Amino acid sequence: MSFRRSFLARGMALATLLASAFGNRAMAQAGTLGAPVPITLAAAATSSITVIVLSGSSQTIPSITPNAINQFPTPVQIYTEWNLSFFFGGTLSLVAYFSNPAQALTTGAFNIPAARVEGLTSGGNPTLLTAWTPITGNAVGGVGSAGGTAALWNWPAICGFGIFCRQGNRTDQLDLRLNLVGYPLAAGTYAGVLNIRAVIY
Amino acid sequence: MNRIFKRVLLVGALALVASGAQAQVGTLSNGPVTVVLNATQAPTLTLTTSVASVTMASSIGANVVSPFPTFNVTATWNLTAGTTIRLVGWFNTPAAALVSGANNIASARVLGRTGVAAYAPFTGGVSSTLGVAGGTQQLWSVNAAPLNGTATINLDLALDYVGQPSPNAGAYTGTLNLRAIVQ
Repeated sequence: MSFRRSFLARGMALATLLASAFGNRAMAQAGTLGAPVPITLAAAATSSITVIVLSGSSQTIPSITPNAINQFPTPVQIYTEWNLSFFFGGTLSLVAYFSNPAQALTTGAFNIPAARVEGLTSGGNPTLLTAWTPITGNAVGGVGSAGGTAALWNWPAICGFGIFCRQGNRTDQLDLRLNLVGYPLAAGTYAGVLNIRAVIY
Repeated sequence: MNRIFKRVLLVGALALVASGAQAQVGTLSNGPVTVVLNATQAPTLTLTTSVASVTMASSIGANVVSPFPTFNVTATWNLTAGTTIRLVGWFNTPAAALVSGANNIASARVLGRTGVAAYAPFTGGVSSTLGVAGGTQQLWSVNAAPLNGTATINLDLALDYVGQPSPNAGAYTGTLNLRAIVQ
C-alpha cells in the first residue's frame, strides 16, 4: 500500500514537472526567429538585337510592265532594337539579302536575279541605300549571300558602356522595285523572299 | 603614383576594349525576318500589221481575182501555256464586207491566204471562238513553243470576181478584223 502511494506521488510530481517545462517552452517560442535561409536568384539579360517588319512584309506587283521599272506599291517598315551589355569597336548593320542571288524571284524555270531588285532606304540615320541600289553586294558580317546582299544601314559604335549607344532602336523604310529595263521576262507569277537580319561585325 | 594609376587605367581600358569587341562581334539579331515578294508578268499575245490599210492599185476586174498589196502580220507572244497560236480573220457583216453606198461586196468574194497557202474565201463559221458565222477564215497557225516568241507571215487579200461581172462602180471600203488566239 505504501508502495502504491509512493508510486502515485512520484507520478504526479513527474507530471507536474513536465507540464511546467513544456508550458515554459511554448511561451518562449512565440518570439523566436528562425535562422535566415538565403535563396540565390539568377537572371541574365543577354545582349539582344531584335528586328521586326512592322508593315509591308508581303509585297505584290499585280501586273508587271515589261521593259520598265516596276516599283512595289508599299514600303517595308523595319524596326530594329538593340540592347547590348556594352558596345565597343564594332559595327551594327542591318542586312537584306536573297539566299540565291541568281533566283531572287522565280516562276518555274524562269528567274529574276537579285541584280534586278533594287532598294532605297529612308527614315533612320545614317542610311546606306540613299539612292536606288541593286541588291548585289556580298555578305556583311557573315550575314547574306555573295552577290545578293545589301547593308541597309551601319551603326558604328565606339562609345562602350554608354546607354545612349548600347541600347537603341530605329525604324527604317525600305522601298523595293524591279528594274526590268532591257530584261525580257517570261510570263508568270514570280515569287521570292528577301531576308533581313542585323549583325554586329 | 599618378603615373602608375594612369597606366593601370590605360591597361584596363585596353583590355576592356579588346574583350568588348570580341564579345560583341558576331552578335546576330533574331530571324532573319522576311519580306515576301510577288510579281506577275501577265501572258501576252500581240498582233501587229505592217500597214493599217491596203488599197487595191487597180480597178476591181470582172472575171478575175484582183489582189490587194501584200502586207505582213506579226504575232508576238509571252505565254505560260499553250501549244498553238491561231490567226483568224473575219468581217463583222459577211453580206457587206466592203460597202459603197447601197452596194456591197460580200465576204464570199474576199479571198485571203498566208504564206504560200491557197486562197480561200471568208465564209467560215466562228473559229476558235473568234469571228462570225459565214464571214470568218482561220488564216494561220504557228507552234507556240517556245512560249516566248514571235513570228511573221505575209497576208494576201483579193477580190474574187471570176465568172462574175465587176461590182457596181464605186469606192468600196471595209474592215477585216484580225485576231490571234492561243490554244
